Amino acid sequence: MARSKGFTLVELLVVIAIIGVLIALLLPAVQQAREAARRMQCSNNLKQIGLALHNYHDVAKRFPPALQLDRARVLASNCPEGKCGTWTWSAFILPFVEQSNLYDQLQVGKLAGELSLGDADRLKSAEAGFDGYRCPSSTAPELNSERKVPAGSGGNTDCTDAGCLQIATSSYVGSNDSYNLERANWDGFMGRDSEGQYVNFARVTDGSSNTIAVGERAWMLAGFSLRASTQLIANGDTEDHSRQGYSYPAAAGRWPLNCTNNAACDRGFSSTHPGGALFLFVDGSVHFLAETIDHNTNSTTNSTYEYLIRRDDGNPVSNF
Amino acid sequence: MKRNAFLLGLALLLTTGCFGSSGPQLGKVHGTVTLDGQPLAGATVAFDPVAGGRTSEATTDAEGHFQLQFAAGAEGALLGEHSIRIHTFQARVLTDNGKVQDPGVPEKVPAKYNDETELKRTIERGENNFDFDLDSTQ
Repeated sequence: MARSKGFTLVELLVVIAIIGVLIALLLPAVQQAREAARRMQCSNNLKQIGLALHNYHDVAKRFPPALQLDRARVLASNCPEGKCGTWTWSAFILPFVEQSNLYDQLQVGKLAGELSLGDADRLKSAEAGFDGYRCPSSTAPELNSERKVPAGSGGNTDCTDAGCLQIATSSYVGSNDSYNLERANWDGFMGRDSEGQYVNFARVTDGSSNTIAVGERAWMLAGFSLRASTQLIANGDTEDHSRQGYSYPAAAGRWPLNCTNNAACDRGFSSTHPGGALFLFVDGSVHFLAETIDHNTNSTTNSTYEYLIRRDDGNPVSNF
Repeated sequence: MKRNAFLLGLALLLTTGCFGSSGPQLGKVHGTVTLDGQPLAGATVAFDPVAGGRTSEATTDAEGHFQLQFAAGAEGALLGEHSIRIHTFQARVLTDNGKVQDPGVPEKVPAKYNDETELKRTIERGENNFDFDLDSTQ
């Protein structure tokens, strides 16, 4: 009997098994490639922010403050948290990321933050925000429902009630201090301007390539809510408090990179990139820092992570 | 025989990527903190590696129990000798108007257990259990 032409069942099964194995090998690699692409775009966003900060410095002779209160109201001391919306660094650099129209429409620095949001058209623009402030790897929603900002007459101090509104989420936070979030005498790249403190290139004495300017903050990590950041406007600025202004646009080095074991971890840096986060340095370069970086969380500046955040510790580090 | 070898090879191929750890070697660390015999709740327990590296931290629960975390999703601490800080201090928070937003928590633990710590432990691979019985009377 002549053997009929065609494949036997076993041959077919072997072929299918081999194809299955190849696909199984390839699929995780494809997912990794997708995350790599998102991380690359995230890194490019930071690069653009770096260029904008440099251009801002060319014009203003200093870097932007992390947040700015309305001066008249600071002097009158009637800017309680939950009532006052403060402009943040991401608003001040808008003209340098080709968003002059948004800058002009919101009247950044001219109107108080909450008054700017009191208008329906301006609120719409603040809700839309600028895409370059969102990291594609971030799982955050378009509007930040966990960090609301005062609008109109404002709400309660933690800004959780109806007087506060949701605006566009940001993934990027400025570097404020190597220990806690500080309003006065901060030693990082940006802080509140009403203490008369500011940073320019000359004050980054560790060298601009050894000092962090801006980093990332995740929305959620391993099921732990870190609440990302807001674009343009923040709540009033109680010092070292997760629910109020200062923690919106800035982060500090007390909390380890990607920490999820303390309620205050939402005042630090974090990202959903596996194993670490991207950081923009003052010189405009973007680096990926691993979460295994040398970091001692006590109150003295004595580890690589803190040396990178602090601008004047006298310990320029090169291998990180 | 040949078929068995083939199946074994197939099984090995299918498990590619399932093994092998990423990141440094960690040892799991847990234990209980008591102050003068009473469980100490809400204290921060920090293990600083003496050789340098990332601090692992935890906060004690109502029974004074803690479990160290290295990073998101990674329990434990680096292997080797650690110097340990235990403190309860949380700063007072003032609003912009000078009102007290949060009274904070005073430091209940003596300096010899945090700022001038003498506590040292060595973490080994696997499970580590360290109970700290602190004494505030001397």
